[in-house]
Amino acid sequence: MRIENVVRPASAEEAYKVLLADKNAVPIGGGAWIKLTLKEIQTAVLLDGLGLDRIVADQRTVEIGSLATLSAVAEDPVLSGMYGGLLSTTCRRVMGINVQDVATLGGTVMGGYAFSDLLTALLAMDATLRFQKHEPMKLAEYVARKTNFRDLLTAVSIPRRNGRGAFVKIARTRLDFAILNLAVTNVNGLYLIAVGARPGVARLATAAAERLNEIHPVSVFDLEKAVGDALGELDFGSNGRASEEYRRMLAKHHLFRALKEVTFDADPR
Amino acid sequence: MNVVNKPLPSLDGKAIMMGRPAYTDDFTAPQSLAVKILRSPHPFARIVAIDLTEARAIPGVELVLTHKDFPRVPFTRAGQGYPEPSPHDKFVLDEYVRYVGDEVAIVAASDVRTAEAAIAAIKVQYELLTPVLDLDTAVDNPSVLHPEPEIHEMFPIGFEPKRNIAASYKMNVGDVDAVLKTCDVVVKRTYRTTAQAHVAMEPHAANARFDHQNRLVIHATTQTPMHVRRILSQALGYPIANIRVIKPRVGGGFGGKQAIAAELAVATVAIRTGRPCRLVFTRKEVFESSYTRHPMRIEMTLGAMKDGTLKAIDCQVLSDTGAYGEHALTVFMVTGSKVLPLYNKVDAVRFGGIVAYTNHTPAGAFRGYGAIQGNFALESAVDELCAELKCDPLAFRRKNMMREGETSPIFAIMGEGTEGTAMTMDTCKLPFCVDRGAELSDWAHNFPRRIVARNRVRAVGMAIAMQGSGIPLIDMASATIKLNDDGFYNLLVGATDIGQKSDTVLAQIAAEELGTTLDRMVVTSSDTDVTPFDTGAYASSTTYVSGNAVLCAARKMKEALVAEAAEVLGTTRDQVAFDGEKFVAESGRTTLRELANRLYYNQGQKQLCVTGSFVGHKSPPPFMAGFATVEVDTETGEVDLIDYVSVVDCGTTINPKLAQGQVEGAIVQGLGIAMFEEPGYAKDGRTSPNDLLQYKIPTRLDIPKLTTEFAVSYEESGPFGAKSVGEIGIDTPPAAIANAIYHAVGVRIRELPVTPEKIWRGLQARQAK
Amino acid sequence: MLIRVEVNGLSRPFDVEPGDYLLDTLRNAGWLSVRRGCDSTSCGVCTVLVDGRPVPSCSFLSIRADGRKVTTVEGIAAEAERLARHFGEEGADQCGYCNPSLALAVYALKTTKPDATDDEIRTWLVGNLCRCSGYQSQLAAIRRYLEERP
Repeated sequence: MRIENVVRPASAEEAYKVLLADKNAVPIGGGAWIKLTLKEIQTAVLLDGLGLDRIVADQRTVEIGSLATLSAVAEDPVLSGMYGGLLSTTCRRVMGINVQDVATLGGTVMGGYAFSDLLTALLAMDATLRFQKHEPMKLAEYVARKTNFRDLLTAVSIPRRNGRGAFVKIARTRLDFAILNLAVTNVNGLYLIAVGARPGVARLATAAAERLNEIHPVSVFDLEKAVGDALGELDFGSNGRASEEYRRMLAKHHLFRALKEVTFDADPR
Repeated sequence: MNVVNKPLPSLDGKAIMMGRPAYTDDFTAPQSLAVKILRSPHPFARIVAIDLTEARAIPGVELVLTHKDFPRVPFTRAGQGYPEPSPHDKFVLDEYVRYVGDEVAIVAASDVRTAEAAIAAIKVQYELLTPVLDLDTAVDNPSVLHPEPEIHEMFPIGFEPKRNIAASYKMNVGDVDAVLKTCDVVVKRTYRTTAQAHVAMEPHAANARFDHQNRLVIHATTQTPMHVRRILSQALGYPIANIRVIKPRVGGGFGGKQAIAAELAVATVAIRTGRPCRLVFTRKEVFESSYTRHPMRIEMTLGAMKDGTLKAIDCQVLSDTGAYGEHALTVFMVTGSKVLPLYNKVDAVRFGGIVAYTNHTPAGAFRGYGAIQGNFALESAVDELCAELKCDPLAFRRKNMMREGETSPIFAIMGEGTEGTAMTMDTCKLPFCVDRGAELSDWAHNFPRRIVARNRVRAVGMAIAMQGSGIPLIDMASATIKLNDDGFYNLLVGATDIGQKSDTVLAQIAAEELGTTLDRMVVTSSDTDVTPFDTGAYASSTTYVSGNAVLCAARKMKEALVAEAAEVLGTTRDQVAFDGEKFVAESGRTTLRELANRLYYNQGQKQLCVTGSFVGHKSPPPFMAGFATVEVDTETGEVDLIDYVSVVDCGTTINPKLAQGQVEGAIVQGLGIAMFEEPGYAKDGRTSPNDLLQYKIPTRLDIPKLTTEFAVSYEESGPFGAKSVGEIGIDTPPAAIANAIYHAVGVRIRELPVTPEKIWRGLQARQAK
Repeated sequence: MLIRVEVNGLSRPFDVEPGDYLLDTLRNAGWLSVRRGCDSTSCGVCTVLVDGRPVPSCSFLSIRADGRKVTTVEGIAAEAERLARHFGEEGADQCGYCNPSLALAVYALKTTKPDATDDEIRTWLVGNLCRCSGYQSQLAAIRRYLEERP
């Protein structure tokens, strides 16, 4: 890697100003993905030491600093207690511990990578992105449209809700990128359904979830219908790892099982 | 036995774990030039012009070499005995590039960054040629990879470069077609195996320097230091007596370091500049520009009677050797010679095929060496036959497989490039391996399948396998033992420890024979100036061939010691008893320590130093039975590996824990090509994937359980009853897994890897019927 | 640029380029136990500890190590020797190329979760590939190491 200049801003505000002023400045989170994709950086902006790695919980939300590592997220006691440890489980499925110790939540989110497992789980947890300057933005919106502004992500905000969650990742080996991943949450009958690595980037099956949310109580057949709705709403494709057909089938079966898991106490069938 | 068949800790494990300098790049000389190679972006092209002006002008660039700088001397990069059974079809640098990653130019500069800048500044004009990227249409393709007039075979191997044929062979015993006509059931199937990347954790590397005698000293990640020395001399026209090749600790080989990789470049740079230099392959270079396993298409025909007697086998192979022919003939021949004898009682057997050139990364040696490909085809076909015969797979094996005391005509006919060597199976515990494996895998309860949940099925599948123990009449090994004052020994062996702990295993053999302990045996290995000859770590030769050489040397040392002790004690040799520590006779006694010091300093002074050599007259195969237990999700085709049971006959295990490690490591590599690894090529023929981010080998969480046992077996011709064990483990997993999947859900997969999607598609097809 | 890193308990200056990675900085400074395997964070061979946590040094910019504590296997010699003893007893060592980095990762597990179950051990070490051993003998050795209470 060739880096011409290094900037060590003294505050998040200063970091933001640097990024705004220089279109080519690259913020460095964990740096691992950048190493794999970039050969040269004109100006690297180091974000260590700005307090952006803290995870702070209050009554209503957990604010995960954008520089928090996946390991820190996985080990956070408050997050571990939410949705049955959904976020923890997901972080631990990303490569191995050494990558989890450097990869940052912010780096993962801003990258918007199609293979990302974290985006899928965060969508199902109704995450909101906080920026240095810009108004907060729902993660779902960011993933759909990216941003047309340049800003510093300071935190990922998760609303504290009592609910159940399930994360599924299908891959060839335990260190591989997903062939498909999905996450579902159920907060007192309110569902969020997210599917990623389709191979496209994670998406919420919003219509399917909304329809399901209007049904009380939910039966197995309702869940089956929701799966059908979700498959109709989301698009799938083929790549070297799997065909579209196979992904669609995996989504069908695993989504159904995950929905059952967060709905019933034991498999009704 | 006190030392042999004991799980003693290795001689070097502790130091390596503690991080001591041990591997090739750790021994780079200070101020070494960085060597980098410009590689072809095209699968097939002729270099029309190379402009080096800009590159040469960069400060710090010491040397840039192209094909114009080398005389037209063809050679083979394959590390094999001389004359090699591989065609001499390679030049140091050539006017043609034949695969994406092939060498175009060699650069040496003050550091890696400068070398990379020079690489980027070299301007090459290529004439693009039509690449041959499909194995099935490679032979007689109008695009010919090797039109050069200078290339040749060293002896007849069926080399027809104008037809894109690197090697070919055929043989038959009896009349297969006639016998097939008399069979009740004939099964004819085509199987395909993929390439495979070795993924040794240490990338290929070499460094070169001139020493205080102005001799060229090379450190290299090699399995064959002796062959490297010879090949460097021949390829560069450099006096062999001026070359020293040292193999330090090597971070894995598995066959991938059984051919020249970085050695030629550093040697030629050092010779031309007089300066030390180093080359370390990137992981991308290891994928694209070292070697892979030979992908094969195998047509297997089996004929049997209703009562389950196998009568005929016909095995026809098309093998992809990539751009150059290293190991082309020999891997292909092992596909037959170390597979087909498993069913030695057939009336007729036929084997033949062609090894074709393509514009792919060259294929080369890889553990199993053709036997894993052949085993997948044969043991899958046998299972398919059993399904048609409605015969139990275990019963079929028991009825037809090789047994102790038997032989196969194939042994006499098929060698490695030459004729074979007849041999009888003095040890073959296959019946025990099959029975015990069935027991350990709970075959009776799991075969063919058990429903464990609404959408989940558990099933077992198995395969038997054989390999070899060195190449008879060709592989020579030797060992030198030197006595030191204080009564400890130096053991000098050419044998090449690449992680299989041959230093330790051979020291155990020497220590056992000399009645001493491991800590009194200091091993030096694989230094062409210091250690005696050994062909190297391949063909599962180390325990059997190198071990026998060590045993021979140890016996000679014992005799010499007893002779000296008899002198000292004033008696005759037959009166002296030696237990490893002391010599006792009626006339008196002395200790080894006393004798050694006396011989060094006091009286009748001499240096006791003996050498033993060994060439095998047979290659007693290790055998094994492998049993895979899987659980299949019948809705999605996903597979969980539950257990892999291995029962192995390798004679005496010199070190039982290390032998188990050899088997289990090989099993997991076999499971890799069976289920997890997906090698391939991009549209332009480039090896893809070409990094570890995309190419996935099995992880700790993918292999939950392995169960490994050894049969009680004693091979008289082996050191303390041992046969070799390095490769046998890799052969059975592809067929065992494919068979398990068939038993689970009735889907037969004939093209590796066995993947969930293929299983699911098979299930869809079955339901459609 | 000049940075200051505490390596194995000793704080020292390093003159690095901004784009240098910790792997090369350490190796060029003489810590030859730090080795390269894949350059893509996929194999674990280059693992070192930064502030006690395992990281892939091939992808960790040296400038980010400024002011932090780095541990290579030379810095945990007694632990490495202890682990090596168990590896030796289980025959779990083969080519050894993954061993020093594995020792660091195992040591980090010991200081984080010494009562790890087999599954937790596997999960912690999943990013440390081994191509030689088949993993079972390594697990047995690591379990004994963790259970040992010296």
